[in-house]
Amino acid sequence: MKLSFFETVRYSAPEALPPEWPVASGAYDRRAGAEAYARMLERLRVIEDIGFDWVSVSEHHYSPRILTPSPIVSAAYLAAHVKKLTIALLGPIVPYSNPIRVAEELAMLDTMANGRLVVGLLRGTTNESLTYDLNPAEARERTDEGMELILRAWKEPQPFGWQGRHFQFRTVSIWPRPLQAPHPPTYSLGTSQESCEFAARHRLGCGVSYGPFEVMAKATRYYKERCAHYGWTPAPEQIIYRANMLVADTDAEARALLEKQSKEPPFAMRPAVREAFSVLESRNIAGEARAPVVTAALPTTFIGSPDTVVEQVRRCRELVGCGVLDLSLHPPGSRDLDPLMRALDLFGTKVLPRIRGL
Amino acid sequence: MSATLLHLHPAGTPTPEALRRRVRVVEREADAGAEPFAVLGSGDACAAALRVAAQAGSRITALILESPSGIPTDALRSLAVPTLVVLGTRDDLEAPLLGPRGHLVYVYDAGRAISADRPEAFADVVADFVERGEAFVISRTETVIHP
Repeated sequence: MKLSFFETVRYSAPEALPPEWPVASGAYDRRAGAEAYARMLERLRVIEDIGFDWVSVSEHHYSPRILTPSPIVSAAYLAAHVKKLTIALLGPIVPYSNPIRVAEELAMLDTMANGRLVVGLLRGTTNESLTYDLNPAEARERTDEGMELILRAWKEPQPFGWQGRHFQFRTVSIWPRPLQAPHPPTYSLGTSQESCEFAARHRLGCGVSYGPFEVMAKATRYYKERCAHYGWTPAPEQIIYRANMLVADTDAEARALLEKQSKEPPFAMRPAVREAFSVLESRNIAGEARAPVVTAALPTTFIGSPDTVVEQVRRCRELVGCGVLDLSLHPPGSRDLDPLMRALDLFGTKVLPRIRGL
Repeated sequence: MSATLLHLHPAGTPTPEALRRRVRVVEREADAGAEPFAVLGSGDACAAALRVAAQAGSRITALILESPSGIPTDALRSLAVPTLVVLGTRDDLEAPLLGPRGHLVYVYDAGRAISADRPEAFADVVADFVERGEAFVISRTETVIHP
C-alpha cells in the first residue's frame, strides 16, 4: 500500500477568526501566512524521512483551513524541495479552470518534478462554485468536458481545435508535454456515478474521500464494474482513499483528542446559501443521492492506538480496495501544530511499517 | 450574399439546418455556379470531396472533411487548399496527418455522425471556416457582460 501525506498548509491564526465562509480577507495575518508555508517545508522533510510515498495538495478557496487556492503553485514549490516523494496534485478544480492552462501547467510540473507527479481531477466541493461565479448546475458537465480536453491536450501530437459545450479553442498545441508518456498517472476524483464512469471510460484511477468504508466501497465497486464493462481491471494503486487519521499512544488518548474537537464544520456557509445549494446542487455516491453540503465536521475515519489504526487500515484496504491511502494526520479544527508533529512521529514508527505491505 | 458550400454525403446524413442558415448549401457541383465555393465531405463521401477539390483547383476556397474514412493516410499532407478535418471525441478514428494548410477540430461528445450528434457545434466551426478561411482560428466571440 502506498502512503500519501495530505498537506493542508495549516494556518495558525494568532487571533480568533470569523466563523463563516468566505472568511474575510481582512482577518488574514500576513506573518502567520508566511509561517504556514515555511512550516510546510519543514514537514516535507519529516514526511520524506518517515517514508511516505506521496505528498498531496488540494484546491480550496477563501478560508484559512487549507491555504492552497492554487494547488499547482503549491505543488511546484514542493517539487523544488523534495528528493524522493511523488507530488500528488489532487487536484485542480476543473470546472472553474481553463483546461488548456491546467494541461500546460501540469506538463511543466511533471517535467520539473522529473516525472514524480500524479494528478487528480475533480468537480470540487459545492461551495467552491461561489469562488469563481459558476452555476453549480453546470459544474458536472464542465468537469467531464474539461477533463477530456486536458487528456486530449496531453496526447494529441498535432495542433487541434476543440468545439465543446462549455469550452471552445481553435488552436491548441501544448509545450512542454508531460515527461511521463502519454501523461502522468491521472485520477478522476469523486464518489459520483459520473466521476466513476469517466474514470473507467478513460482508464483513469478513481479517488474517494472521508466517507465510511462501506459507503466508499459502493463507489469503488461501481468504478470496478464500469472498468470491467470497458474491458480492463484497475490496479490497487488506481484507487485512492483520503481520510483523517487520529493516532495516539492509546485508544483512550485518541478518543480524548477527538472529544476536544469541534463537531461543527469549520467556516460554514450562511444558512440561506447552504439551503439554496441543497436545491440547486445534486451529488451522489454511485448513483445514490447524498447531501450536497457537508453540515458537520469531516469524520475521523482512523482513530486509536497504532494497533487499532493498523486494523482499521486493513479493513479499509479490504472493503474499499484502495492501494493508496491519503492521510490528513492533523487533528481537524486544531490550530496547534504540535499534535501533528507528534502524530507523524507515532505514525512513522508504529503504523507505517505495518501497513506498507497490505 | 452567403458563401456556397457543396456538401457531399452518404444517403441519410443530411446537412444540418444550422449550417444551411449560415451558408448556401448545394449538393451537386453543377449547382455551385460560377463563383468559388467550399466543399464538405462527410464520412464515406470524403474521398469524393477530395477528388472535387483536386479537379476544381482554384475554384475551391476550402475543403472540410467530417469524420474522414477510406482516404489514404497522407492524402492531406500536400493539399494547397485550406483543409479542415472535423472529428468527434466519441469516435475512434485516427486524425490524419495534416499539411501546412490543414486544421483539425474535435467536436466534443460527438460520434462518427458529428453533424447529427452536435449539429450547432458542427455548423458553427464549418461555417466559420467557409466564411473566414484560416482566420477562423481568431475568436470573434464577445465577452462583454454589461456594456
